[in-house]
Amino acid sequence: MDLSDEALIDSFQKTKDSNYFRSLVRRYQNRIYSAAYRFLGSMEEAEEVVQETYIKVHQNLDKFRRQSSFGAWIFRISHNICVDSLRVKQRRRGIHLVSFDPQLAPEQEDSNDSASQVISQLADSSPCPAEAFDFKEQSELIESSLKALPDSQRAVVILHDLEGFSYQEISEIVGANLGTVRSRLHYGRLKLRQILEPYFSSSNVSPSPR
Amino acid sequence: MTERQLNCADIEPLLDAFHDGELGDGEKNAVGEHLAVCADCQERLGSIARLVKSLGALPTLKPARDLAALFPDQPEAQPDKLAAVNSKRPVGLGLTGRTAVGLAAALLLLFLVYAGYQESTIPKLSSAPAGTPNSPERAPELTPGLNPAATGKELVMPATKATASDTPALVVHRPEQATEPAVLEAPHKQVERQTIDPDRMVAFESTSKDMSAPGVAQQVEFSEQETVAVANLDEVGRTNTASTIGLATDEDGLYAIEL
Repeated sequence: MDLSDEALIDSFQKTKDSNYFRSLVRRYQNRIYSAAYRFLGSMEEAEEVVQETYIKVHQNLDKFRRQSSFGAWIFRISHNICVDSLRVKQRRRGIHLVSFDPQLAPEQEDSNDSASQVISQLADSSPCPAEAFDFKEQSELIESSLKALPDSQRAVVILHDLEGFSYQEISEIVGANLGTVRSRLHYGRLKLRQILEPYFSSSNVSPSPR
Repeated sequence: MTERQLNCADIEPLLDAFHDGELGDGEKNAVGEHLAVCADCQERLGSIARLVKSLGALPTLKPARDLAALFPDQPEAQPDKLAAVNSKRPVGLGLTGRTAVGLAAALLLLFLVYAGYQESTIPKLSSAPAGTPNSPERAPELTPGLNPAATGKELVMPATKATASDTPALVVHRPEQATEPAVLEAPHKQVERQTIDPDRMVAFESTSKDMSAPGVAQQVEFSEQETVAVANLDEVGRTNTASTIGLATDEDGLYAIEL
């Protein structure tokens, strides 16, 4: 029978038996790696994020207060590492992070990144939805569409729709309030639907214009 | 009509949370009532559902290696293991004590050897301003052909403008084989010596076009485990009997030499 995360932590802290910690590592490493890869777009960086996450978890396990789930706690650590990594990368490129406030000016934010351009490029390709759109292509298309989202929206979409966290957990992971999480998820999905709608053959409804 | 459009505009931002079951009772009821009479919003909700399903179908990826191996059985061994992991990062000011002492000792020794070598073979340089030898503004600019007969080699110092940020290219080469690298150096915080296969060096040389001393010095290794590598050309009989002297430095002032 699999022990819960909390039980593994208790056992590790009591016995110092690394097997318990390794079980925690194996339980989450693929999920953290997947999320980091989709957030950063680099396998190498994603692996570094996982590694650094577990080092921090190992060093700070006694600081886990159990007010949230262990999953949310470890994803918060990995998310912070991802954001730091992204900042460093963008600073090297001379790009500054763009703050996102959908309630004020979502269109203005769009003009500051390449997402709109990517969307229009994808939309202009005019694919025939019914032709040769198999699962692999669909997956690749969705993966590339995720990259078109602003970082803050992409993070929330990944955490909710791929990793299954609740709004409350995402709020804790990314350090934003519930309303912001809801807005980011809404606008992120809206953008993805705009990109992907032409490819879904069963759909003939486009998202309402904003 | 106007009222319905407003309703749609109000409802649409709530559709995602409605789909996810993240609305409170009041909003949930309002959205439910609207959906009962609005085909467009029903379609939008369907579109959201399809998207979420597609996203959820993306596979979970696996890292190339099992990172659980970072945490061995013995708890007391873990700090070393983690330190080893950390040591893969570029070494900067956060040198650990043992590494820093080793580097400082190596630096001092190499500096002394380097200074002695300069005094004995290049007396002309003794009047040069004192300073750190690898300092860009202080680096003496030796000209090719400076007493090559004495050692069968000549020193080539990095050009001043090239040492400010670039990896330095302080090397020794034989005048008669100017295109063959004799001493190879790389940026190094952690000094270790390797014998490099000359064939590999030559292959590398052929791809390097923008060295500060073209055709003379070549960098070989840019790995994270930064190294100073000295070619042992004698082993393969590709050099004369004169000893091979290699000097290497980087912007941190580290030197390596082989006599």
